[in-house]
Amino acid sequence: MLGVEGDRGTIWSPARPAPIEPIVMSRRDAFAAVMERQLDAAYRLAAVILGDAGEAEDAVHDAAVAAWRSRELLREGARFEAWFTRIVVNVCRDRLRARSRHRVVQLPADFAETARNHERSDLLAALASRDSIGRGFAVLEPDERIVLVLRFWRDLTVDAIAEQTGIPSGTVKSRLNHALGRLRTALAIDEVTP
Amino acid sequence: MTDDRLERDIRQFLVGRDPGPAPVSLHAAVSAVPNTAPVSGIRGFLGRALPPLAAAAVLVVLVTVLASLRLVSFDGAGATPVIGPTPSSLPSLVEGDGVMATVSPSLLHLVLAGTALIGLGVVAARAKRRVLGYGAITAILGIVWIGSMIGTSDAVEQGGGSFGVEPFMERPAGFERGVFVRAEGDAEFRILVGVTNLSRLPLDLVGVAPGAAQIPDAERLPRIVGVGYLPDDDCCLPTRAQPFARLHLDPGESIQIVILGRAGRCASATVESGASQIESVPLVYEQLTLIHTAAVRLEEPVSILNNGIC
Repeated sequence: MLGVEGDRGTIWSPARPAPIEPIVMSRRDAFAAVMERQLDAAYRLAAVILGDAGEAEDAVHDAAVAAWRSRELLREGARFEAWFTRIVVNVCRDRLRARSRHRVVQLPADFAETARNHERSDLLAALASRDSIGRGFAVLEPDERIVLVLRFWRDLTVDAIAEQTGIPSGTVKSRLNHALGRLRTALAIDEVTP
Repeated sequence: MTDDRLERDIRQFLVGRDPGPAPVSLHAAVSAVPNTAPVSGIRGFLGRALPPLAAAAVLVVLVTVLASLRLVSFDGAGATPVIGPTPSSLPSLVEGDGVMATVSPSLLHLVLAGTALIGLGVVAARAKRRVLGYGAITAILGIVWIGSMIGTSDAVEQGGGSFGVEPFMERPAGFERGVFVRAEGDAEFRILVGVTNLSRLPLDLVGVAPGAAQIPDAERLPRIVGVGYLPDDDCCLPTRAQPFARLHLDPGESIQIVILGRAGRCASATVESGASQIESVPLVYEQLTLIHTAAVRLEEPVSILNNGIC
């Protein structure tokens, strides 16, 4: 048996497609078990969106609290992963909006490793490009960042992004196009003004 | 830059932000969420809502107390009109028509304003969208501003009609100003005055404030004891005044009202001591469901001679 039965509210384990036996979300141990399976993916997603591992920890914790408090709203247990991902994305969006007035631009986390593995000229080119992308990424709207991460880091399709963010597919496409356009513009400016 | 290269650079950039598996501390914190997270359901809602509700309640109590003090200290605000004689086919203005009987705070408005402030306070404190929060704060400020205006607005002023008294007497020598009433003893007199709604909103005249021109042993002196009005097609004779009824005035509209007064025991038809004067009439009106009192200043004081020895 993969799940645990209980008295109210059910969820299907995300490890296997439905139907499987339900996990009762109102039971604390069951909730903790399901969360444990989602935690790494949620943390990495939050970190990529936010660009800050420490803040990603806080965001995932906030998302877990929100999920626990609203667990009875989840009627279809098989959708837990998508449901929790949406919560994480929403928390990240709120945090991006909240800090929009205080932007922090970080150095690449693998700066030292990259330096060891590349010839100097390649390194400079790579860093220049990465820096440009980073600067362009920093000025994107929170919603544009999110669709970009889901598309190019999680490799989700437009429809899957729409499902996980709760917005129409057309909106996802337009946000992707707009985000890519802004990144291209940022890169073009950097190429003109080294 | 080609699309392929851009996509590759974006992917590399995003991979560079991936920190790998979640740290042990996060696993521990998340597994403890069911034991440490706020309670859900109605108990959780109450637990979360009580602090802002308590703060809002304190605010409402403060506003209520301040508003009550202000309203009580202001004649006419929230007053209840006396039900005068029912207009008949033979209308006659009698003492007591249109005089407000009681002065009390408008509890309905206070309750409504308090409820609105509580709700808006909660919204402002908990709104996730900035627009919603700003909107709630703006609405709170609007309510406070409207509340501060209660009893202070003067939307009604003299204008748009005749002005005179009945019975009239020529101004005695020695007096530079004033319209004089001929009266002997506590006789009845009437003041005809046109009033205009000078505001941008319609309003309803609901009477005159109680206690107008009243002082200890008020029967010695002139005082207002009633109010009526003249229909549009009945100009200029205060003796034809009809009993007061609630009067609607659109912006800029005027109407002629008739103030019924008593001259006081000291009134005299001849110059013996001096003169008593009525300089303004405290008219009560309702606008946007709020009660206001406007001290309608007369273009000349209504004067009554007195003997000074009554």
